[in-house]
Amino acid sequence: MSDEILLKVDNLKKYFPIKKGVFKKVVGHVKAVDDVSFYIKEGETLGLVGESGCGKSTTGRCLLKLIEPTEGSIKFKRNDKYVDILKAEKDQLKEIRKDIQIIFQDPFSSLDSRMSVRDIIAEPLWINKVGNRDTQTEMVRELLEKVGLNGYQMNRYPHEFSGGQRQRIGIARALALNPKLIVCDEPVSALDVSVQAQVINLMMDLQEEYGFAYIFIAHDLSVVEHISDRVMVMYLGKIAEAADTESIFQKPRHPYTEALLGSIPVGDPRSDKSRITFGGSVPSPANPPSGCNLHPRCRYAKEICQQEEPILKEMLDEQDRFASCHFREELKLSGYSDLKRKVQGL
Amino acid sequence: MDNNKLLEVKDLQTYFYTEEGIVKAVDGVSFNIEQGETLGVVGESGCGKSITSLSLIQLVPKPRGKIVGGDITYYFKNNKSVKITELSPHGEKIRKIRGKEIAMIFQEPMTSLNPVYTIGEQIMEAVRLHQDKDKNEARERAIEMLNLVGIAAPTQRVDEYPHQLSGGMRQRVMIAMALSCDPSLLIADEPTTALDVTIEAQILDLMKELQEKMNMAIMFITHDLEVIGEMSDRVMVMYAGKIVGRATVDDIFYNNKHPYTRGLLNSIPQIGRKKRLIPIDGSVPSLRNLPGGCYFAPRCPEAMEICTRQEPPTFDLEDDQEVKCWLYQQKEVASNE
Amino acid sequence: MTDTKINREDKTDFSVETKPVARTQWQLIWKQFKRHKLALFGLYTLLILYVVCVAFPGFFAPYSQTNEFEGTNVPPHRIRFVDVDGNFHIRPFVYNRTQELDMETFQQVYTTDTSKRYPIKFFVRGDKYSVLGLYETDIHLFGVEDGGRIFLFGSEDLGRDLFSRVIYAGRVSLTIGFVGVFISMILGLLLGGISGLAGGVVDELIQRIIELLMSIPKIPLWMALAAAIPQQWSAIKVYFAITIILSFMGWTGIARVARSKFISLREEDFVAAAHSFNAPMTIIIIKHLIPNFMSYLIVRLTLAIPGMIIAETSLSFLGVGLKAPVVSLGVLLQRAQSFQTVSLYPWLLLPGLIVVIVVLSYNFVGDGLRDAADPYS
Repeated sequence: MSDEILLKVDNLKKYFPIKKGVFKKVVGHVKAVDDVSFYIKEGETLGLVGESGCGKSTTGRCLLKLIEPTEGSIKFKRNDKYVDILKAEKDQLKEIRKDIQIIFQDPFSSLDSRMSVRDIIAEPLWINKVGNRDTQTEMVRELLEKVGLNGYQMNRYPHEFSGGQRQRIGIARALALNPKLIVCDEPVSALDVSVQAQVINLMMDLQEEYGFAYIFIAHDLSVVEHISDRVMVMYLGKIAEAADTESIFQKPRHPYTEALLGSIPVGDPRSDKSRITFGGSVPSPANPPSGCNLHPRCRYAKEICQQEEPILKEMLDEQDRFASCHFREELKLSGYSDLKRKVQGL
Repeated sequence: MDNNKLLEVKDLQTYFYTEEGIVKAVDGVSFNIEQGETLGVVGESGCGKSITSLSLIQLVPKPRGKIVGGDITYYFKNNKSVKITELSPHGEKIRKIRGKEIAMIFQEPMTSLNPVYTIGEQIMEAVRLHQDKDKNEARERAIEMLNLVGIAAPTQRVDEYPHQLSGGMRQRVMIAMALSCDPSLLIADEPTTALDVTIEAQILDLMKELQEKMNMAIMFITHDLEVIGEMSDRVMVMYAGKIVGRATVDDIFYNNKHPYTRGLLNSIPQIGRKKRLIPIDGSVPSLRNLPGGCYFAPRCPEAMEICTRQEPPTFDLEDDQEVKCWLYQQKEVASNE
Repeated sequence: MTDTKINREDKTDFSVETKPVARTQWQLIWKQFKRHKLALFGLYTLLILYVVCVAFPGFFAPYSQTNEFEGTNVPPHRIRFVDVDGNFHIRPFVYNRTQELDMETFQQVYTTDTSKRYPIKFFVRGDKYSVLGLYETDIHLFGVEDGGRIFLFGSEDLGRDLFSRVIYAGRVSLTIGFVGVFISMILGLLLGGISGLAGGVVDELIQRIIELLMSIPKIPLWMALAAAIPQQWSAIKVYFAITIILSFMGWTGIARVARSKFISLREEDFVAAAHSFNAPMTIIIIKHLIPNFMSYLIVRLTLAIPGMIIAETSLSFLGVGLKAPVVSLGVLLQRAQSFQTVSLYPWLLLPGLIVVIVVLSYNFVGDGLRDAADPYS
């Protein structure tokens, strides 16, 4: 991991229009991603967590331009220069796209069931005119072995593989173009527990070998904690908090992070079962609350929270640590270890 | 202790007859549920945990699925008992048990509620099916139940339709409906899997609170060991249609015996423990294509020669654990037979 | 513990290794299809019908469609093995029927002439016909010689063999639908595809056109068209013209299916993946969308063809479709329009039975294909 910034996102917005009536009049917007700024360093893993509808998947897909953002800039480092993906020329965009790949959640819909594994993994190669048919086949064989499958399995079809193996095939396809950044959209949440660990280990090993960066989108906090260097917590299209993993989990500076940590079920029967939970449910992103979007659920909310929207700011006392809460400097929040401390002598 | 027994399952076999052959979804499963306890059932996809629970109330998917063997005995509060396996799946008797004595909640709260009726009407229907109450009384009961499951302004919410509620709210309504007739056993099949983590925490807390209030037993089915650890008193681990281990929740986490249970625990990342995960090799076997001997043997790091040849029996261990693994052959205290 | 630990290398990933070697999509579809017994039955029935009626009608029909024999509306001949004297014959035979007019009731009375047996022979010579338009021959699969007659389905009012005419009618009725379905398919796929992929204004426009076309009642339109087409055209040309015009309106159903399917496929992750590595839209359409849509299309077509067959039959029956001298199942059924004929000569309804068999078979095959079309899900 170097300290070089690979990708810098500024004021990214994605508003989906809500249309009504015969003439499809736009009556409002779902602010799926609302003014999000962050960066990823080369070779690091940035975890992106949040509940459903918080905009984490949309953010991930905007980076690949699978969804056209409404506003903002996404600058990607290429040949020591930063190119804005959203304003790039067609040829330039083509080159950048090779450097950013994606792994999906659903191991079934992510592979075209009508293509052999060889064709699936070779597709990015032939589309981008890398090598000829024979060298492509050879590369497919190598990639399959890299992700823990056998080269001879390349002539099979996806349905002959288990969920975990299909996810490995998806990873092999993402690796084919030797990317610098892989967006992982809930890559293990559809897998069985025992298989999930295999895939997590594989992903970490591959990162070590190739040195690419991950954006790891997941709702499972313990998986994110395990794999990420830094973590970004999103709520209703905005970033609530961003910091290195250890700090986020042990010394959160945003009430939402604290509530998320408090909600994690703890298997260990000898740990404290009382918890800080969170009332209510996630409001609709079409109609977010005024002021701080968390205030109806927040236990620390004061009057200002209803009126004024907090801005994501770097903490005064800590570098590289951001939180968007009016009371980020004052609040004493509990970390995971405090919340889930072991009850001794049970 | 026998008076505490609520449900007794002996050697349950539920098979599916498909075009490719017989799928033994549940194959020789025996267990008890005591009054007021929470039995956790954990396992990966295809281990038979859901089919086991559906068998308990004769709701095995027809026409392919069938209970082909074993006994399920339900003990009423007045010490009478009934053999559920002998009841017709469509008869009057099973309907009196289903919903009234044994209630069930499912993973997907959206599909479990009928979108064309208000939630009040749906709870009232459940109430009036089992209890001799008129419309007004049933409505009152519905409001009372909504209040109990923590839905704010229940007198208004009772007339709302399912689509007006969020996922967590719907799951609360499902719980209200399930508990409206004071069941003695609640089967919860992955009730929080589809929910966000903050909502999951709310629902789990709610279930614990209601269990205490209503003194019912819960059979909690999930793939998530962490949730199991939070909810259960005793835990049953299933693999490929069979129970491979059973122990108290503390033993599952601190004194586990079966290599599969251990493998599962090592597979889940734990916050604050930055260690490399130790996954289980291979993948969950297809029930159509099971290995010989112990089903777990091909993935087991401690497999011995006998494991691939012969299926292990269930060994009773001294600390009230049961484990289906050859490793414990000599440590066996009392044979199962 | 005396057991030795087994070598880790010995462990195979049984969930995959024991599965059979890769099979192509079509092999899988066929395997799945074969399980559907009714569909298989339908498929074989259709194969037989198409071989008999469409490929080699002259060979299977004992007579030509125009050969008029003496006697009208002769009831079907019974195939016999035992003669009037009680003797058993290995080779089946028929007796001729003679026809007389009962002077009291003015009804035709048929008597079986048992004086001479006409054994049924294979590969007999009879009327000339051409095989697939390549060469002429006069060999028929079966028939009787020496002035005997064999009318398996009886004969009609001009004395022509109904069985032979049904076979020739099948040739027209079973194929005429294809043209219409084919044009509908091309148009539907194209416009539905554009609608689904382009979205926006184009989509709106195509959708509104579809709704407009769907609201036009078909039978009155058909009648109007039948009246508008030049009189000097031959009957079959007229019919083709109408079919083509109708299929220009009949693409709407397929277009809707294509649109919704394309929209849902477009959202699949594998399409997103293709976008992420620069695959151009044309490649995505050709490599991903169309192959995934193909199976649905085939099912759809299988279910559309019987619709066309029914349309032909009912329109011809009403007198606005095909007309004599063209022989089609609908034209044959036209003879059974009055209650009197049906009660006196019920065998004239037999062409209707063939229609039922064909349509049922197509529906069975369509059902089977629907189940088999996605062998992976």
